[in-house]
Amino acid sequence: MNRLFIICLLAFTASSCKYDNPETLRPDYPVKISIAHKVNSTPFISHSAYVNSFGENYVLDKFNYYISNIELLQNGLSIGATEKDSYHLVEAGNPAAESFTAKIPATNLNGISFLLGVDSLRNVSGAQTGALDPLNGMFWTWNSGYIMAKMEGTTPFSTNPGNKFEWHIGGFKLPYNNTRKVTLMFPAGKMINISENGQAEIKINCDISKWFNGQHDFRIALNPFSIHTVIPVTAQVADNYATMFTITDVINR
Amino acid sequence: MRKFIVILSLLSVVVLFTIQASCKKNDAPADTPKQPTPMNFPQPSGWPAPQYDFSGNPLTEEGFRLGRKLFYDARLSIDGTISCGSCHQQFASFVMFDHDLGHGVNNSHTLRNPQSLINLAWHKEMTWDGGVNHIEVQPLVPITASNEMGETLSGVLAKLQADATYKTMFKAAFGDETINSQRMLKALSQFMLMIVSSNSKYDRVKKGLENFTPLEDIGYQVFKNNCNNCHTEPLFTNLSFRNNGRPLNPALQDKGRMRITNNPADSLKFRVPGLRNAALTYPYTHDGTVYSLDQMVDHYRFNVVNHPSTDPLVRNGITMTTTEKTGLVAFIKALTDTTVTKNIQFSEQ
Repeated sequence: MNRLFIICLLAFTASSCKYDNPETLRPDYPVKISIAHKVNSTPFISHSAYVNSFGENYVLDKFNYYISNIELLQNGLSIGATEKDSYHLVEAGNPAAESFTAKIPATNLNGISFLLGVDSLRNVSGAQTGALDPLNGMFWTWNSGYIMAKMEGTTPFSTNPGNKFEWHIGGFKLPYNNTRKVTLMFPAGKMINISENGQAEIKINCDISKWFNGQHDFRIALNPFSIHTVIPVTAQVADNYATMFTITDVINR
Repeated sequence: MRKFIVILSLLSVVVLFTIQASCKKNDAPADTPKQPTPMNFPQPSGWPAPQYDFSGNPLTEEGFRLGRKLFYDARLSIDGTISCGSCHQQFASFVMFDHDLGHGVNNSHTLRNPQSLINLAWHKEMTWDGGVNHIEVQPLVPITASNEMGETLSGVLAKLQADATYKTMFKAAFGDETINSQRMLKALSQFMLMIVSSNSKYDRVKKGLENFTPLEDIGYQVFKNNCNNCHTEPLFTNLSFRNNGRPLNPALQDKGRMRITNNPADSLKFRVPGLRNAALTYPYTHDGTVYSLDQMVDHYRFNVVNHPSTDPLVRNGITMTTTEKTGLVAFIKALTDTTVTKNIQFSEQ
């Protein structure tokens, strides 16, 4: 008889609703994420000329990448503040695609993590839409999978027609899973404080120059001018693009 | 005390159900448009469950019909000359009849022999090298390849969006007139997934409805002793990638699976093709250089080339008598299923 009681009690515990603290974790809180793209400290302007840390000249035409699996953190810890179906295509230099609003169950939070790229599960889940529509030109057809980040432009080093370079970094399978998890703490004292009808904004700085030297040296002259497959150097570029981001401000409205 | 515990237990069950009910969303639609008609997947008895997860793309008559129209629509190509059905002809079990390589726009040839589309619901990876990881994204390859249909995805969508018939058909299949790549690909997948071949003489023998001839019986024994490791029943492929000892084609220089994995161990490996309807799908192998079942069996008997990656199962060739070979070919012919090649459901309308 005691056993019956315990079983019922266990069943009761297991059946409780998913969000245990509805009074502290507010569902669908709008969090705007705005990304300012810079090269070193200069604001990025498409088709402009830049010099990397190795003194190599290049003109940057396009820099697109995916941000996915966004989660807000409390003191570096996960408390379930994740965005559902979280996939965003960011296009540097296109104001409409440099900020987006994520609906996140929020409470007092002071950090963020996201995946740069598209997770492996979604890479094998068939036809997608929205940010992941293959129409966006961020999908490889013959060896199917998403391009995590692409950089295109011209450089005098390139022997391609028109001196073009095209670096498309994809790959979601080991040994070259080129997604990278980025975790950022808010500046000291900054926090998302939820309020009725309020919204928060996280301002992020993305320094594109880190592509060349974030963790590894990626010299234009020493690398292929076209990358369209998963080759070893892509893992180094991925390590580099994981270092591009810093948080500059968090605003509660 | 006992009574008290019983009452308490019953009470907690009641509370439990109340709470569970309150967790459920009230999502009864207020005003739903006409729902498409569900269609059943023809799962053959005794076969494994399909690889494809239908929950994300439920089969419907309207979705299937839309997929069929897309499949046979040459406007999916840049110049309106090539449809999916051009290289995947129903009467040839959805390969290109009597062609070594497929034909693309601008007098181009494909790199490989077009493969049959039967029983794709059980396939995890598509194409000869497995580079495509899901049937839904497979059509993107021929649509955009310059030596196949040579179009762009946006170009195809613009043509479909300007077509009143397609608007009606997308609405019937998906609830509104939105035409996007995801819907197009899911509809094409519905059509391809329905092409199930499971009604050959072999299947009828397995069900006890018919008997093999003595020659077919000999062939089935040879098959079970020598071929079943890779051409595994009931699909007659285990979907693995193997080097079966065909020579490297000097003109095509096609290294197969290595193109996807960059792993030299995968050089010259290609997906094991299913043998169902093989009698209708000549020429054989990835480059279409073997023109008859007789020649194909003789390849394994006499002509295997030993590259470093040639499969151990065929390195020393496969020994059989001439009678056994004749039997094996007879058995493979007993895998022919004309119900799928003549089913008007799968034909251009």
